[in-house]
Amino acid sequence: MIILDCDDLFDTWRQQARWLLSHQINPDQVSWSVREDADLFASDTHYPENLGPFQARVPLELLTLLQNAAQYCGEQRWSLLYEVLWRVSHGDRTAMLAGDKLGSELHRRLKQVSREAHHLHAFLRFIALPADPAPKDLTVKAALLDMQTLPEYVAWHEPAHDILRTASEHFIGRLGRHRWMIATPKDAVFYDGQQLIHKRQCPDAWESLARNADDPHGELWLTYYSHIFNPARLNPKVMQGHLPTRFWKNLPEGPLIPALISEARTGKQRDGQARQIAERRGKVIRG
Amino acid sequence: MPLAAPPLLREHRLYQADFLLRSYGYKANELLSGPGDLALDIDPKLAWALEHRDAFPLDLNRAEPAMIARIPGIGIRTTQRLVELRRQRRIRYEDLTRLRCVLAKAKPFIITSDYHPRQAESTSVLLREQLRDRPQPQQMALWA
Repeated sequence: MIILDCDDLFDTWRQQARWLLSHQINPDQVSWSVREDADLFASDTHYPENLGPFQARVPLELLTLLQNAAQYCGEQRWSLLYEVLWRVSHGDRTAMLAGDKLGSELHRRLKQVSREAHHLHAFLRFIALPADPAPKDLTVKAALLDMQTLPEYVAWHEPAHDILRTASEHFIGRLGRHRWMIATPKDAVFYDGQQLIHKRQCPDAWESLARNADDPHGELWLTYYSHIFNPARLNPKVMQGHLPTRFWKNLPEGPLIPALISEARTGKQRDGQARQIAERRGKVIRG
Repeated sequence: MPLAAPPLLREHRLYQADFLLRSYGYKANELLSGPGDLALDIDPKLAWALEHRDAFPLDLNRAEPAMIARIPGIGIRTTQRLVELRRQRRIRYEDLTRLRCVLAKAKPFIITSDYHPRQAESTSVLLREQLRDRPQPQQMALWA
């Protein structure tokens, strides 16, 4: 049994997989583990450092599939990829198709990853930082944050998979030359107007900047959201499919949703906004 | 003005028909030949398949991709995946479960290398009765 640690990096895994494949090492003899300590079934067989005799040829599209599926966080994150690679390089192309047992798992992961990227694009809320009047203060703060300049917009997001680096490129086109930063529990990205800087470990200062930002228009958005929430067309099951509950806590309107759903169930579908309008103070019109 | 509001399911059926027209190559008169509305209890694709039983069951290992996409419960994406898969090996019944087809609907209309539908001989009326969406049972009103 060979235990490898690729530090959750695709390029490292790729080098390791190439080496394993060249020595024709079976997938069931390899496992990837983050921990340093040896596996129970670890053996001391030594393999040479350089590449072995077997020359694998795989289609280019497989590489893209593996690279995308590698962003999935879960059990057997890397060993499944090696198994797919092994089967395809030994002439069994069904391993990369969705109809196959292994391939369907690969495609399930691909779908989860692309869906998580969609969640990032859909549920990220950038908050504009106040333009600080004291320039001295600004530079100190920026230095503290390990940035040249402070971002104009910050956001906090909790993705389930390692999609931040690739999926956040979407915002470069959307936000032009604005500077923005996205912090997550794991990693963080900062766009300084020129290039995207990715930190594998989100610095604490970045995290606190993103989590403590105060949205000046927050109240307005909550009012707007609770008014466009259409009780007549509410379908809670579909809603939770599109907007999973794990995102509610980071969305400003999240705490409002349960109340809005229960209001819709207890008669708001009939009365609409009648109650809120009744609560308003009327105007006296004098003739 | 109609006396009662149309059921929300009517809108759903219209969207389904819209997708069939735009991506599946159906013609409007195939989906709605006579006067009247689309059926509410079965989707338009199933309705078409039940009217054209002579085209089914289809052998997934041989059929034209355009015809596979017309099987109820099998969509465009699944069709592409089936075509990719059958280039490598023959399609078996369990592949369809993995591709997450709506097998309850697809079953009477498909043949794979290890499956032949029992319902191939049942009449369309009987199949429609088996496959139609049943409304959720409703609690009766107390003071009706």
